[in-house]
Amino acid sequence: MQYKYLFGMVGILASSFCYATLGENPDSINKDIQVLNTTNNGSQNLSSAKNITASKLQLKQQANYEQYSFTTNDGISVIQYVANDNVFAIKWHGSHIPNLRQLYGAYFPNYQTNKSSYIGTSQHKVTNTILDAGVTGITGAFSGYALLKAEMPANLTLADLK
Amino acid sequence: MKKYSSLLVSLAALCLSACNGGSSSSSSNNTLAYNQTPIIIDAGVNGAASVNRPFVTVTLCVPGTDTCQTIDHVLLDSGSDGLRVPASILKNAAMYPQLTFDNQPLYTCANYAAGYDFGSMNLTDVVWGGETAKSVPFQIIDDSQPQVGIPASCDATGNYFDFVAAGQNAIIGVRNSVFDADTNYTCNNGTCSLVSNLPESMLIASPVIRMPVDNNGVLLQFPTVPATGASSFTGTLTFGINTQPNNSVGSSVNLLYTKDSLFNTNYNNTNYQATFDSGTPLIIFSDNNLPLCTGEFAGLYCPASPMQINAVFSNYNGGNQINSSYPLTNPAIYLGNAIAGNTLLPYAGAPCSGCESFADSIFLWGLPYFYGKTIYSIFPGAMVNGESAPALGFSS
Repeated sequence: MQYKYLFGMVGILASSFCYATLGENPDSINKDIQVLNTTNNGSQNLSSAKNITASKLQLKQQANYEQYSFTTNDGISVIQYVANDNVFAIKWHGSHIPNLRQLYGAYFPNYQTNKSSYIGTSQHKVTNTILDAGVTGITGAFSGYALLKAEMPANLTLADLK
Repeated sequence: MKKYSSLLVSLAALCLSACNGGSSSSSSNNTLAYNQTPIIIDAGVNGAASVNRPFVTVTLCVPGTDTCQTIDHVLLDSGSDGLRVPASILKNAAMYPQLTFDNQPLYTCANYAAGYDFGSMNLTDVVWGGETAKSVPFQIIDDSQPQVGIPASCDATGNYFDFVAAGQNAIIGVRNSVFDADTNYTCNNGTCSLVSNLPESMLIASPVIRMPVDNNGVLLQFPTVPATGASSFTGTLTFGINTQPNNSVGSSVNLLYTKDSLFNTNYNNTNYQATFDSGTPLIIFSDNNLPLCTGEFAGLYCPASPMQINAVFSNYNGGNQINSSYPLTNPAIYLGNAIAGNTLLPYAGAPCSGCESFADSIFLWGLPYFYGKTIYSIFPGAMVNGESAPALGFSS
């Protein structure tokens, strides 16, 4: 995907509400930016959505996947990994836990209802046949990811996703 | 990880039958001053706690009354802020006045990596050790099942974190950033609105800052773990920094200045955001070269032979480098020598569940790092050695 095309796409999608996210096509990332920025910790009010500027979204072409990254207005760094027109993994990092319902989309119920084995207040891990996800952190500094096992490109591991 | 989890529970269950003898417990000192209270590491409520969980006892009183309740097994967490008690644990919950903003009742969503807790913001008097803090904002967690009325933005951060199932009656955060990063709401008839401009006086924070004296920090002190382990283990929590002879910060204390309670840890030439977190039961860090345990310790690091985690600590801004070395062993080796009912697992580490995220990620020096040390949590505003906190410190 070329930058020029990406910028154009951002402009078009800023005013449309196509849902997307983990397991969806890359257009959905604009929706993620919009919701995460509007929400100031996740409120669902979309009416005051700020205009999305292209500079918020950066694209990096890797050997067998594309890497989209953006930082929300409240400082959450998000990287989304796309292959075969599909977001197969998301990593995030910041002062609080962002709106994972938005980022993980159709897979959020899987994430939310599969209880982690309890490993203390500061760690959470979900692993099942579909999803691999985790959160670590303390108040003020959290880090997490989710990936769709079946959607990972061949010969890639989570550690390869920089 | 499931196997490891069940091991932790079974260890704790063993303790239920083995803990009463007392001969295997270890205690740091016998006589406590009024600004001190014991920290007990045991199997928790119903034996449900994992290893390395530090508990304190706190008394809550309806403000200005003698209607009080003493709650044991309150998790002492240096990685979060404030007192939070499930409604099912708190007697007379309706008597604790709820805070309001613009005449609307206030609620809060606390986020832990383990999940969220939603509930009302209320006031309580807190008696802790010999100290009393009056009219302290705290959270009464709605732990009714199924829960209703949780704002979508709170529920969107994960899953409900069930304290009681984790073997703790409540949590009390003494993080040195003091003021929480909770998401606060006013709610009316099930409709909640975000509130971002609450005055500090209404925010849920460490009750220590609301004590009349000894309110500028805490010390967590633990004896060295006995070679054979212990079925219960007692440390000391001391209130105040440089306010009493028992909380002075001497020149031998290694100080690290923090931002958001974080300092830097350099490990294997990578920088991490780090903290001393009593709420984390293991040393949590990323090292893809370390082998992982299989079988009952699946999910933990299993180095082939005992090793040292060699790291360099520095202030949040990079200054003041301090070398630190901490042992890491195969946990099976340690437990093989340990007594039945052990609630301690020192020298144990595990990968960071969420740290695959970014190279510059998180390193948590969990409770095992506290053993045999004094850890200082110094709140903003305190002056230590001529410099202004917030800071964390440690001494052997």
